[in-house]
Amino acid sequence: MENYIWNKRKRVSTVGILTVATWCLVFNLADAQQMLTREEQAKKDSVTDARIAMLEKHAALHKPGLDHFVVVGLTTFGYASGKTTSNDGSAPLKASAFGTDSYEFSPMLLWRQGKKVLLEFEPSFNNDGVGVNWAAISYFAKPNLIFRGGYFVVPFGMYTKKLAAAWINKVATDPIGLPTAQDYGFGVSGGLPLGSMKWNYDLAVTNGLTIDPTVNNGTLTNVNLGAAARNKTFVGRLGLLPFSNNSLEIGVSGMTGGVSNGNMTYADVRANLYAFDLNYVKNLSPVLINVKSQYNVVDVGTATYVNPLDATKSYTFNNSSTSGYGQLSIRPTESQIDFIKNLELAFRYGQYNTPKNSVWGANTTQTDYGLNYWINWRTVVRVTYEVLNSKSTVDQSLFTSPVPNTKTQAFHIQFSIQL
Amino acid sequence: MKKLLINKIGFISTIGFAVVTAFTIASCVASQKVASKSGAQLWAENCQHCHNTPAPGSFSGDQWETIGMHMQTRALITESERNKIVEFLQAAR
Repeated sequence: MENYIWNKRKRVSTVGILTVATWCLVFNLADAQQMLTREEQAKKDSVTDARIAMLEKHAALHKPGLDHFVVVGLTTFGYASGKTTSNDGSAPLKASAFGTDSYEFSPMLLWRQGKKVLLEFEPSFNNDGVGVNWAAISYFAKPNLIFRGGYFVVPFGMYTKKLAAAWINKVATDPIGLPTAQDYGFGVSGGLPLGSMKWNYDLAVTNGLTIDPTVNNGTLTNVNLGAAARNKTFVGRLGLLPFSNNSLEIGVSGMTGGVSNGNMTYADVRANLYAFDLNYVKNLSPVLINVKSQYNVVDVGTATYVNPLDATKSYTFNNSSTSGYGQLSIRPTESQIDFIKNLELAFRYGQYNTPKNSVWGANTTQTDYGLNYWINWRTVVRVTYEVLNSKSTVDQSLFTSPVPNTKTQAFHIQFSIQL
Repeated sequence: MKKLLINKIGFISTIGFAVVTAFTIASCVASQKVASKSGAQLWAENCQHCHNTPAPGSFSGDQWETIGMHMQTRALITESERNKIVEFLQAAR
């Protein structure tokens, strides 16, 4: 009996212990499961958080308004008819055609990233084929400090960079004798206040100029991306707006650099260029007065060139050119009649003197009379009558027959719009 | 001797240019009259310097931001002028 009771107690105890152990195990398992679930959840949460953080970071790169693409540029087309007469007794040469400047589609693609970076690319389609007017990137480093690199209009004078677009220009053609255009390089620019005045700077280092190797007569051409592209050119313009109403801007430009580009014949030859420009725009009731002017000097060092009639001989000349133009346009902006208000009269006179005794020596004058009708602020239809008088100053001994003086009269009709 | 003289002149010119440039940049602040100009006034004064004043409705607000940067590189207006002109054009659309 005692043994029975003992066995019973033992069984009960064993069952009790097993029960407690089972419960403990169950509780532990449940707790472990719960912990596992919490860990998994935490892990899931951290993955989700990381994903969200990554997406937020990604989204921050594409905030509305921070990167944009705009197409501007211009298109121009027109018709020109001209007649050239010379004093050598030959028959007048007549031509009627779309001119190079009269048939152009140049969309400018602007793309900015945030407020610091701007890309500008302007391909150009015209009678000459396809080209590029501008391909540069600008970095707005400080409020009035912009770094630029690429292919751009060199900062020399005012016309080529600011006024050459047909929808901005006041007559159908460019002034004669502009010495520079686009080049590859990098630069720095900006505009700054100066009390009641304002000034601006535009400086660049470019691949520069070289004596044209194809004609070898002392004329300058751009190196562009030529094989050597040596003798970097330093170029810059400083502008001053002396009046607080911004009506007047005067500018001075300089450009200097060697022109040999690896050709030892011209190893010590340098080109020095200077320009002075003026821009005055003022509402003088009831008309808007617009005056533009630029004067350029090009000095190339002394060099000898191959005689075109006898390759065993050489010749030289003072390789100095000057050019300049003055332009006045008047628009009756306060007229009560819309048609009259949209008209603008323009007059331009230019002169271009190339080196005397060279094979391209001439004193040329350019006179333009223009009438513009502004359909809206960026669309114009214009007519221009132009007279070019050219008096030869070549060394006649370099030619087999005398080089005559010429006179060209041309009539242009042109339509231009900013895209 | 001549080379030394040229070097000396070049050195003095460079220092002189640097000093003048530093003074000029240091004094680059707008007068109160200029600083208080409105965006509309700056739009009228600066744009017509090269071309006709653009109509505000010609581009969207975001496009004016881009064009403002483009014009700053071309016309070399100050950043303050650019911001005021763009704000005016966006508001006047």
